[in-house]
Amino acid sequence: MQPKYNNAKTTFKFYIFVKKTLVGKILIKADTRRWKSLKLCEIWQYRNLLINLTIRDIKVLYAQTKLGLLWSFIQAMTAGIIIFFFFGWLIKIPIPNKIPYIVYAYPGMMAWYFFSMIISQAGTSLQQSQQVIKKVYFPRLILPLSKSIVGIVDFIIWFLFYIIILLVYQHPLSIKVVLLPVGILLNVITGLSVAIWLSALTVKFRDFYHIIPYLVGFGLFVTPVFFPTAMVPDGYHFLVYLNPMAGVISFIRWCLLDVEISVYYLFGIIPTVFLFISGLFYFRKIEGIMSDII
Amino acid sequence: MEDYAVRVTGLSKKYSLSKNQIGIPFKDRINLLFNKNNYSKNNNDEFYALKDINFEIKRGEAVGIIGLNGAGKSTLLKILSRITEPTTGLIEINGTVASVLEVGMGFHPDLTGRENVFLNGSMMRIPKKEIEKNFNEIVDFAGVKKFIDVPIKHYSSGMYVRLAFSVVAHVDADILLFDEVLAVGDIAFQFKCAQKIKQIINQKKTMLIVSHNMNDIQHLCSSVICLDDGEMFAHDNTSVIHKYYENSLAKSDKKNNVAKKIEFKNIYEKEWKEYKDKGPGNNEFRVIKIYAVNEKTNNNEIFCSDDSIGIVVDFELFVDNPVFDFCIYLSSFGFYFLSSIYSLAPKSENKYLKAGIYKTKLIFKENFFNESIINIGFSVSGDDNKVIWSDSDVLTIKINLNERKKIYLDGFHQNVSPLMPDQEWLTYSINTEKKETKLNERE
Repeated sequence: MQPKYNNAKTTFKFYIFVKKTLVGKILIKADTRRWKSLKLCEIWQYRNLLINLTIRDIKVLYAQTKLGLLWSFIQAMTAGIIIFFFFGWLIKIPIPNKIPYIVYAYPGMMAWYFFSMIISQAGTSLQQSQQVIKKVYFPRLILPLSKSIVGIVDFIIWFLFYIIILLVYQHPLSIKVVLLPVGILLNVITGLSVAIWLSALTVKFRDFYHIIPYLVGFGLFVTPVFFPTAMVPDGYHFLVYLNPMAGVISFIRWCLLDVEISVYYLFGIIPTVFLFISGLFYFRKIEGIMSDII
Repeated sequence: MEDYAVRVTGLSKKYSLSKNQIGIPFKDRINLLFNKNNYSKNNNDEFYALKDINFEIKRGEAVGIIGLNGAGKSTLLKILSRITEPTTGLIEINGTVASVLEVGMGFHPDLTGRENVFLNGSMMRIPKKEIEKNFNEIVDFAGVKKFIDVPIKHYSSGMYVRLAFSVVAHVDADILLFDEVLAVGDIAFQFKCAQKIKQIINQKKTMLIVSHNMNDIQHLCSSVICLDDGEMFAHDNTSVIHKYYENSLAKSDKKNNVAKKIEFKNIYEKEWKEYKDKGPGNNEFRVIKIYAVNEKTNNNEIFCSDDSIGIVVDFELFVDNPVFDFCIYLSSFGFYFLSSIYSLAPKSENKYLKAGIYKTKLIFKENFFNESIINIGFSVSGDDNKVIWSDSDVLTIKINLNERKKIYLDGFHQNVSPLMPDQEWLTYSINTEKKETKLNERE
């Protein structure tokens, strides 16, 4: 017997999911639910693609260069030199605990660079892969995810350079460095929470494409990267606590240098978690029509 | 498991025609804030790429999807491969799906051939082990063994396409969707592709093929789905292709759109006025007129497959014994070339031809054509066999199938070729070698 179907013009109240049952049957239904299920397990099914895309991006990044990955190291070094001369030597920003300036500021730059990589790369990842999105099916979330994993490679290279700085200054590394992976994870989640929103919004409204440079450029100055939080006037500390990246940077400094960290940074997690989860839902909402509007 | 591979019910896909498909424009949104009830969505903005499609495809069937540009073929495949979501409707698919909407999708120019094979494979969710197992076969099939570790941007376009197709052809999925990707590479590779596809069909895999090449569809598919303006008007065996062509071409005439150039209006006669200057030929001879005539009824407008059909060329010779030659080309639907017939005869006898007006006739005997639209081309050559004038589409005649044959062939009529020469089957019994039966006379 033929199942009943609704004429296109009469009904739009159809449910909406793609389900794979045990016999390998796929159901595709029109979906007009407001909140679509996130289908995170599908990303696991496509983990192979995630790995391959990440490897591709790393290979392609420095394809046809003689220096290859060394370029990442050169970038890390340049940032170190700028921090040392401009902020440490010319401006002379005071640092607690008599820690040398570059030793204090560099982890902040490291985390911020990672964050900005994620939002600029992952945020535009869908735009860059238009052709593939129009022709192949896979969970689109893989694209921003793979871009953030590529960022981790850069982060590790920056960290290696930081070790060199520590050796030069003969500054001890805190034992809490074992918690650094947690810091990296927090950094990725914070970056993704913004990047997922941005990438989905960019598909629909190209305006957001132009917002990314502002976020990266101006965000640097409202985040305690080059200065310690103590420099912020007393009444405005809550603003710093609400900035998710301030928390991440302080946590990474705490891991590496064992400087004090304020409990209030926990409040910064709330906007991050909210952004991250709502971003996932918004992304899913756009995903179904992505290939039509991109 | 159920016996169908794909079942589609009530499928529709709606697009918005507004500029960037982002729903209500900003200006209207502001208006909406102030007077809530005044905004009504303009229905003209909506466009149905697919309207209420229903069909069922059995396991192991190869189905062609045909239709003019914009009929919704690609949208259908996109929905089946889950790239875009349907607006309404339900699709049930039994088994895994691999879709190829474009050859070489997701190939990255900076990666080597080897890396791209694995990347492309993982996009189609083929396990890494399986690609490793088939890797040599894929590379051999594409014939790029020597270059497999070279970045793909240095490949020639042929190598690129061959490698891409080769990955696809080795996917082990139950249901394969192809969107105009069959004809890639050179002739030799196309032949290989066709054989590979046949092999896949023999493995009882289900296949949906979008193609504009009716030959491919006829050879590979057991049935076709015809789409027109988002609506499905036939799901039948491949013999409907003729009907489909007539319908869709008649329609494109009406709509006055791009396809109008290929009009299939019957043209039974072509006459050159002022032929003495402008007719095909040179200063030794000129063609006056070419026309088709039904030899049986002397009618020159209705042709039936069991009439003998004459193509008559009137021409004038201005000198005695000129050297010249005519050629009649046959093609169907304007582009499938069938054959060319040279009139070497006038040359061999032209010593007897004095200046004057002549008529020469090429006769197709009874039961040569099938029901079809035949385009007759004509070319004229003079000395040294150099072509002086040629046009591949001078006359267009429609051949009807005679009623008797129609009844006889109905049912198992799969022959959609434009020619159906009536040949004889003779059956002998080997023991006696005397008894003969003509199969054609079996009624």
